[in-house]
Amino acid sequence: CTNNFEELNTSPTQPRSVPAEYLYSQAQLSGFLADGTNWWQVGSWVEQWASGSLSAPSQYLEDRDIYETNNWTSHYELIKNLAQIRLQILKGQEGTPNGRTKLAIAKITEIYFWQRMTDFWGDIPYTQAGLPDDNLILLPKYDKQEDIYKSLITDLDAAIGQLTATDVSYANADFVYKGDVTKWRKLGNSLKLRLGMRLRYADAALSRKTVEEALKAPLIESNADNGAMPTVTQDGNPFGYHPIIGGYNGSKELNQMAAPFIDMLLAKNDPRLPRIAEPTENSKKAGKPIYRGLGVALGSSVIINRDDYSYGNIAIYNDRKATFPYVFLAYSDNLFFKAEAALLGWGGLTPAQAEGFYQAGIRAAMQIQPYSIAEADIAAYIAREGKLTGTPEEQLEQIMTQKWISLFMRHYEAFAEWRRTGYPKLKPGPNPGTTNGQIPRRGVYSSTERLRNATNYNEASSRMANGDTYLSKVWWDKK
Amino acid sequence: VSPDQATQELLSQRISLQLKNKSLKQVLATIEKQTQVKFIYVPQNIRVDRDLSLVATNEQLSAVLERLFAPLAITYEVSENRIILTKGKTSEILPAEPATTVASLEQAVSGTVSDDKGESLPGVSITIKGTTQGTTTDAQGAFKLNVADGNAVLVFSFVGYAKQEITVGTQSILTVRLLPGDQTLNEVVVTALGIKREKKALAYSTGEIKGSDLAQANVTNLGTALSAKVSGVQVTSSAGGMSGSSRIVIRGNSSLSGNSQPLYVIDGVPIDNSNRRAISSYQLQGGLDGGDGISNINPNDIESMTILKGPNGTALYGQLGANGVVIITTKSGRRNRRPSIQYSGSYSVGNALVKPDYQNEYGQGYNGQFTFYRQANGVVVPFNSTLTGGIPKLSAGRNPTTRGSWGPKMQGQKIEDMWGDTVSYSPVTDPYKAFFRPEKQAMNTVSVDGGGEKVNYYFSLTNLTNDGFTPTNKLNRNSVTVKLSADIAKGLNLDTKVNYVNQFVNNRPYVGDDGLNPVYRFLYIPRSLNMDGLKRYEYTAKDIRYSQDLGGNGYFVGGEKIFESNSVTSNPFWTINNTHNEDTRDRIIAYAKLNYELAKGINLQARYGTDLYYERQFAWKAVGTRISQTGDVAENMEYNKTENIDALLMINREVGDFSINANFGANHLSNKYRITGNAGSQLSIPGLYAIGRTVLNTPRLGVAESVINSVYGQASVGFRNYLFLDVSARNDWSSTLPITNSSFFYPSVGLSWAVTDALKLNVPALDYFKVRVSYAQAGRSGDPYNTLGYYGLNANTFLNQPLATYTSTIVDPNLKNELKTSYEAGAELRFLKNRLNLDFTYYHSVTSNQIIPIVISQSTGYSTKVTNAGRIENKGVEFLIAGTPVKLTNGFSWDLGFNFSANRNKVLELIDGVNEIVVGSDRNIRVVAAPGEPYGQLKAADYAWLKDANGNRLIDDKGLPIVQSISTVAIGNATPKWIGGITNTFSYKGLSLSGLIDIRQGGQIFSQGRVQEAAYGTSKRTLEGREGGLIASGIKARREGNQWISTGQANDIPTTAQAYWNRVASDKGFAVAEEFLYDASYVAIRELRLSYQLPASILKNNKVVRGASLAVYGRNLGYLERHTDGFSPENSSINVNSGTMGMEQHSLPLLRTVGVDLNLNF
Repeated sequence: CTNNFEELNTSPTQPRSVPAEYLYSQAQLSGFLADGTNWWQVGSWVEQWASGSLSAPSQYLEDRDIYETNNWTSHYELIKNLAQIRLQILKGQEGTPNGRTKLAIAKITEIYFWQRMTDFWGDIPYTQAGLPDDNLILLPKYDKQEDIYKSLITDLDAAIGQLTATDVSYANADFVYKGDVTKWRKLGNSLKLRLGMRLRYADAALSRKTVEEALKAPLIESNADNGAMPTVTQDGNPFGYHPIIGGYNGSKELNQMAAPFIDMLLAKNDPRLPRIAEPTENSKKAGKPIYRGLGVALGSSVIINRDDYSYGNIAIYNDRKATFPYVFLAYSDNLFFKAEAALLGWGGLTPAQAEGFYQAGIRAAMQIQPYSIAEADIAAYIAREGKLTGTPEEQLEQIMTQKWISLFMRHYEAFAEWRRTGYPKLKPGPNPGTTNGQIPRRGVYSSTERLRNATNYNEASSRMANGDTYLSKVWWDKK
Repeated sequence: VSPDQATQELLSQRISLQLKNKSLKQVLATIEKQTQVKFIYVPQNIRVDRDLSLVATNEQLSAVLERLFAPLAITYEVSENRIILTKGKTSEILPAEPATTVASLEQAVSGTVSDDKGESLPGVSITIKGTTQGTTTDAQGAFKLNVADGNAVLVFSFVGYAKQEITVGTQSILTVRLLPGDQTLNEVVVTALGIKREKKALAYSTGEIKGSDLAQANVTNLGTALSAKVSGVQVTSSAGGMSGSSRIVIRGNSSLSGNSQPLYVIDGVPIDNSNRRAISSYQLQGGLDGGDGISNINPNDIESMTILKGPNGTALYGQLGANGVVIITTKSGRRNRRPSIQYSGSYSVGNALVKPDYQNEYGQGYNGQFTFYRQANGVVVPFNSTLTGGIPKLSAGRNPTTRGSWGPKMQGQKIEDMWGDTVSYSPVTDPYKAFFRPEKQAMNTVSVDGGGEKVNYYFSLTNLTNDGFTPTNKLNRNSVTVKLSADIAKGLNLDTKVNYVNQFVNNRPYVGDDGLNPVYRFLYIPRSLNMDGLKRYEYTAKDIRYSQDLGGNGYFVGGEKIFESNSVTSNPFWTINNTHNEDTRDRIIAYAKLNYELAKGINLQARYGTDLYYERQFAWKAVGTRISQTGDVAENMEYNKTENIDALLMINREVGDFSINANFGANHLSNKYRITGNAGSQLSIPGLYAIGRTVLNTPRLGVAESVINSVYGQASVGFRNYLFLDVSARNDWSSTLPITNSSFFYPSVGLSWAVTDALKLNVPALDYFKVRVSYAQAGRSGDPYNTLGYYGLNANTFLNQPLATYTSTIVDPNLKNELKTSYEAGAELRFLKNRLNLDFTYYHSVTSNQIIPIVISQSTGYSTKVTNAGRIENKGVEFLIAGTPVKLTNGFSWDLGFNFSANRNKVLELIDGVNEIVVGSDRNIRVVAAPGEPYGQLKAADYAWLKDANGNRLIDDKGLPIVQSISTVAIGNATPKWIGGITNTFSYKGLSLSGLIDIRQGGQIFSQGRVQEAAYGTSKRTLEGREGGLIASGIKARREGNQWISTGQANDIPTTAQAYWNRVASDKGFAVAEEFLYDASYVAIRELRLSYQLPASILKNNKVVRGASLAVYGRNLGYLERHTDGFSPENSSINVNSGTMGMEQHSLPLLRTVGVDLNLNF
């Protein structure tokens, strides 16, 4: 009576196992490009985009269902898919040339995503997530960010230590470095620099130790080393577009530029502006193109004529011919970190070196696509903007302001760095939202967590000063 | 074969006898020898020792029996091949012994006998009252006999029809019409596996519907014809109109997985009722309702339908029948009968029964103003009342500020609309009138049936066309059935049927939250919108030039013209002209059955049945469609084959006072499903809609296969025909469980006791009293591929690299079968010579170890876990009262029936770590199952009013109620407290008026459509406080830190309607759910029918037409009670899944249908 049952009940269309490359490629594609989505939430909080009343979070209103649940789910799925490489596909190959480096690269990638997650939400399920499916914890507890950070740094050291140039790597399945182990080592150390500096105001000792270790190791040292995902055009491709195009395919009202950002670029006469924003529709019609940003968090009752405000310049990404790699970890990041470390005198650097790093950071940021600013324009810009002056704190503000511009379309990182340092100084918009008119300091947890993991959710919420709201601060947000 | 057909076949056997002065016992024995019948009687009641004489020459058994028993005051019932003799109640007036002397028969009488439809009845027994003299009608229904004089009374009797007595008088030609009689006492019902059983012997309750009742409903989807007809059966029709599916729940929702649909079995073959294109019930994201399996079935082919409500009746179907079984028996021809041709045709027109409650006072705008203003110099600026020299301009943007109907009073002002046309600011003509059209349905059926000595046949051809309510939506269905039964050798019968259905559906309407759903659009377009502008659905250069605030992307000449920069909501006029979907299904439902009589009372039956269909689905969107700007095309081919092979050994034995009916069988059921296709986007050549010719292609492949093997046995032991013990046992082996758990067993046992017969009760007015009790289990094993974890390969690569993810569903390698355990007890009473009948049932069932995908914390990396989780309890009562309050001698009668059922449901437990199962959800509302609570709890999510301890809303300093962020809070329940139906039939001669009232009481429904209306101010509900302010009810509160503290004072701070409704529902995702929760109770006039049967006398000389009837009917005519605004509470189901219960989402209106039908017999 049960003849053939096992064969019959095995899906003929889905594999029981796949090469590690398939999982890894998918993780890079969805994970790295996700850095650049979410401008209608994080992007508006850092006041580069003004998404208007269409996007509730941009009005400081919690919208757990749509934004946070999807965001939470996709992040943990990302972790799961990467974890399958170590839990199943390459299990037992940790010490072999066939597994060692692939596992290390997957681990560095995983740590990169974990940092984004904990930076955004704070305490999150970590030790009890990414477990094998036959040994799952259905109600994972939320780890403290402090512990997560320590674990990430330790794990990152271990993973970098496992990178072996002679091992088998991911080759073309690694879109970022084509399996170049040396570049992965540089990315790993740059990530360590970032992890370390993030703790500057929360655990200065650990921060300094980590930063100094990273500074001694090989780092991303040119734009050629950048952590950059290739993207494709919309023609003939179902996915893998530059993140900015995702919004373009939706409602363009989500793509209006924020006044503080446009004003900053205008004030500095920044040559990147035409590559970032479009002149207003009405000014184009009138034949006198001007750039004007829209106020952030205006609320829904203010009637404005959108055609009087600039949209993002999406056309350059969407001309169906050119593609630009999406840079998620840049050489300029390291230079701005070095400038900051120099101000602190960390890692043998001196405050006097800060300006050099600062200028190099501006240059590196302007050189990347799609800006590719001409050297003469860069030089002129640096001549105007490249001096670090005032107190170390004032110098930090200058550094962070340039970094803010450089992090356009890298909203999670921009949001984290703004919270960490408080620069640039951003003024909230008029809508009270659920924050009494303050700019959110974190993302709220998924609404499904309140239902499906209630005890742990409640415990984590109660650890925060303002509970699970936009207003509570994550552990490292101490300044 | 239907019960009365089988009985007729039995009774139409011809016998010849010549017995003089033999005992009745000997006479019966002689008849038994000549035929296959077996007489059963209680010796105390039937005096079989008396002598009598009987002569018959090649006469039908029915006539012989009538002649034999009538004078003896013996009545009989036929069950299977048994004839049960009981002492008749009319014996007093008849002589105890047959009259032996017969007066000379001098007056000749002849005539014809026909049935209620005017069809001639062969084999009707005619006896002269008080004598053994008589005759039977011939094949044409004609008879001839001599009577003594005009005082002679002729008694016409025929199985299944009411006996009729006619005094001859002076007539020499009689035209007699027999009306279907009360068959309740010897009612035979088709039970599991097609086994016919006496209703008396059943230990569980069943519901029966005659085929004619289903045909008379004249509905496209057979499922919807069931509403209110049978107790315990709840029917919800599809929000997707006539081509959609129907949701039928028997005795409450017993499955946590969202689907509680019954099994449909046609002539012993389980059919596929899946709706694979159903919209996910977890997030109602829209799509189209692809229709369910039952929607293909032709109602005109149905002879009868039996609904087996619980495991007690369905034990022999095992897991498939765990939610109840609908057994459909299709029509057959009759033996020894000339070909009879029937035609029936119907035509109906349907219009919206309930439309949105539009307000007609305020048009597009915000804050009581227009949004923009075109100055004299042509520049458009935001509006303020001090502007002069130009004209108000409406916005094309998406903000609620610009697309709401919060503008000024519509007084015919001159304005510039969003596309630059100068128009009058006036209410839109009813958008439903401007877009939708009356539904028109025509159904034509021709059938032929008949039979000879050894064969009977049935053939039918039906065409149904329905031009749907949504323009371009059309359904065309052709159904051909051929059914043949033949005795091919002695004792060997071959029975076979082929039903071929071809169904084509054009442009199914999109439902739910789909941007292509026209209702979605029409619920909230500004009340002042220039509909002519919308009808010109392609952008012109001028439209774009004048559109203000659109946001620039995707607006090009020839593209889909809308008035808002929303990426998803379409222009319905574009949708019906420039997008397309169609599906064609070719389906064969067939069986072949061989029955061999091994020995008397022992039959062996082998049967093969299949339900096979191919369906081609094809859809495209033209270049320029808002949601698919580069166009797309998709084509899928679906293949589904259900095969059922079974063998059954059937034993019927009488041993002394005992009767034994035993069945042993084995069954193999397999299901194979496959879908292949391709979805392409970015058309290479606009207008070329062929898959694979597009720039982007995503191939599609899906396979599902499963097998269930079973053995079973069932035995019913009867004692003296009043006490029956029923036992059954079944073991299944299911391929969808892990091999170690694949086998599972479940039994049933039941007892039925006819108290009146057993105790020979002589209670005045009580004719019959039966009690029944039963216990049963049924197992169930779930869907295939739930025991192993799989990787999902992306159909596309990225930079030539394959991409894969791991499943988001955790499977359970130790999965076990579900088990539903239930008991029921009931009683059946008949009073006043069957003028009053009562039936009562109590049932209780617990479904445990349910195989369900439970949602888990996504922090695990997974979103669902399929495992055995949860126990759910259903208990309830069903009550049926039927009777004939008035029955006059002039032929007038009034029949009345009322059925009632109440189900109480409780989730007993879920697995550890799972607080609740979300069966369905839609932004601010969830349908959940949680331990200790009834299934179908409606819970608000995310937002709720902040209230004081007394339940009063707290009001802030602006006069607006305060919204708090919540996790979830229960606000209602989607399941009804009770449901019922009332049928009334008035008949007088050929005229009949019948009506069906459908009742649902209790339970709530949440309406997302009303959220849309409120958010944009299009409904009447939003009128209060447009001018002069609105005082929201509640208690004023003041803020202390992060807390709101009640002041205890009633609110007196005025706000505006706009501010208030924007607080209640600033957008779909931000609604306070309780404000859109409605009492779903209703009392609906479901059916009304007036029919007229042409008197036979008119047709008696017509050689062609032998019978004719004409009817006018109406369906969904109105409500006697309803509590919803602008929608029908029973029309909400997005699809067959329970997850959509309790949630209305922009559904197409239920249609009020009025039609005529004509039936002719040739």
